[in-house]
Amino acid sequence: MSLKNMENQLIAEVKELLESGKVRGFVGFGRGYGMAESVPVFITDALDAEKLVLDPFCGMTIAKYVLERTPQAVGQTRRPLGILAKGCDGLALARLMRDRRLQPDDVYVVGFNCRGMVDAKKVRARLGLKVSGARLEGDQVHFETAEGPVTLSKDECLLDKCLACENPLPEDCQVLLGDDQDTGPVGHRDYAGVANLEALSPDERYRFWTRQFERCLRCFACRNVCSACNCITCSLEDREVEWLGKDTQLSEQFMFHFTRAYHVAGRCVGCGECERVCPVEIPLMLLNEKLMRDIRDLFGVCDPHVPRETEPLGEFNPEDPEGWREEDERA
Amino acid sequence: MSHDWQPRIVAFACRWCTYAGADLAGTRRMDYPASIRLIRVPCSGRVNPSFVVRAFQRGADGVLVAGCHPGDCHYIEGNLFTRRRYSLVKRLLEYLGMEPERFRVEWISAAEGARFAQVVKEMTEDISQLGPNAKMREQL
Repeated sequence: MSLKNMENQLIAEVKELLESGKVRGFVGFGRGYGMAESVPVFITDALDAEKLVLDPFCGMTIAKYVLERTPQAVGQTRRPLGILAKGCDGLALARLMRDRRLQPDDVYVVGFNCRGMVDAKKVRARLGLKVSGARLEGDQVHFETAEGPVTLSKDECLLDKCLACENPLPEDCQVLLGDDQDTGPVGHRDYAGVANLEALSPDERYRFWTRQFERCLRCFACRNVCSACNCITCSLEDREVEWLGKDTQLSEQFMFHFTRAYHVAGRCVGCGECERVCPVEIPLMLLNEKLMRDIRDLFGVCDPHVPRETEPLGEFNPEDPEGWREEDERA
Repeated sequence: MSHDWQPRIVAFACRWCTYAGADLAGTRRMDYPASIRLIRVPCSGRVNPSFVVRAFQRGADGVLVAGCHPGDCHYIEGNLFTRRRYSLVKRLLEYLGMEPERFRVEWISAAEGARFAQVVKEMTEDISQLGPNAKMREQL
C-alpha cells in the first residue's frame, strides 16, 4: 500500500481515536516549513487529524517525545498517548519500556511497515534542486522537482539508518496501517564505516576523531534526542560526578564522546538520531556502530540494537572471551 | 622528551587479589620499575571506564586495570562484568586512537607477585618506547 493511502487511513484512525477519547493526544508528522519536509506534530483535537502527513520525509524517530508526555509527567489520567511508529520508533519505544521509563499502556501505537525514508540532505546534494514531493516504488524514489520528475535509487537517497534497517515493522502495535506483505529488511548494517576507520593507524584515527570532536559545541542534542539516553539525572550534568569535566577543550570532548558512546553501548537502537541532530555533523554512529559490532562479535548478541530484558553489559557469560587480547580478534 | 622522562602508569588494583599481589612483590623484594601508581579499588568491577580516560587526561602514560582471575572474585561475579566491560573499552580506546600498549587489563592473584612485577616491567618497557602520552591529555 502506498504511503498516500496509508496517510488517509492514518487520518481516519486518529480522528476516530481522538473522538472516542481512547487516546489523549497523538504524536505524528505534519507539514513542515519547506515543501519536502515533515516535522513532528502533537494533536489533541480530532479536527486537527487532517494535519497529519505520511510521506517519504518522515524520517525522524519521534518515540522519545512520548517521554515528556507520559501521564506521570503531565499529571493527567492514565489515558494513552497515540504515536505513529516506524520500525525504529518501535525499537525506541521498546528501549524506553525495558528501561522502565514507559509502561506499555502509556502509549497507543499506530504502526506501519516503513520501506525507508528520504534523506533531504542527500537529495539536495545530489539534485541541487528544490524537491516538492517524493514517492517510493520498489528500489526507486521518484521526486517531483521544479524541473520535472527525477528518479533516484534508494541507495542514493535514503537515510543511512534506513539503508542499515533490518526492522522496518514496529512490534507490539495496537493498529497496523496498510496491508503490505513484504515486511523484510529494507537494508543491512554492514559496519563498513567502522572497518574503514579500523584499517587506519592509531595516530590517523586519533587525528580523525580530533577533527570531529574539535567542532563539538557540547549542546547535548545527541543525548537529548537519544531514546537510550533517558536517565532522569544524567551524569554529564551531575556536578558530583567530578571525573566528567564540563569544559570544551579537546581532552574533555574525548571524555564526553567516550562516555556518551559507552553509556549507550548495548542499548543503542541504531536510529541515527544523534547524528542527524548534531549541528556540527559529528559522525556519532561510527562510535555506536563500533560498540554494536564488538558486542555482536565478542558476546554473540546477534541483534545488538534490539532491546531485550537484560542488556549485554548487564549480564555475562562465564565463557566470555577476553576482548583485549589480540588472538581473540574476531576468530 | 627530556632524557630523564619515566613513564607514569596508573593501575587500578582490586584490593583482594592484585593489590595483595603487589604487596607480595614488595615483601619478596622483587625488582620492578617505580613507574606504577597503584589505586586500590574494592573490585575491578568498581573501575568506571571514565576513570581510565580521566587518568589519561591528567597525565598518565599508561593505565592498567587488574583484578582477580575469573571465578576467583571476592564478590563472586564482579570481574565477569569487568571482563565484558573492558573488552569493549579497550577496543573503543584504540578506535579513538590510543595505542594498544597504553591500556592493559590483567588478572593477577594475591599469589602472583612475580606476575605483577612482570606486567609492570612489560608495560614500562612498551611505554618507554612510545614516549610520553599526549592523546586525550588535558591542556593547562
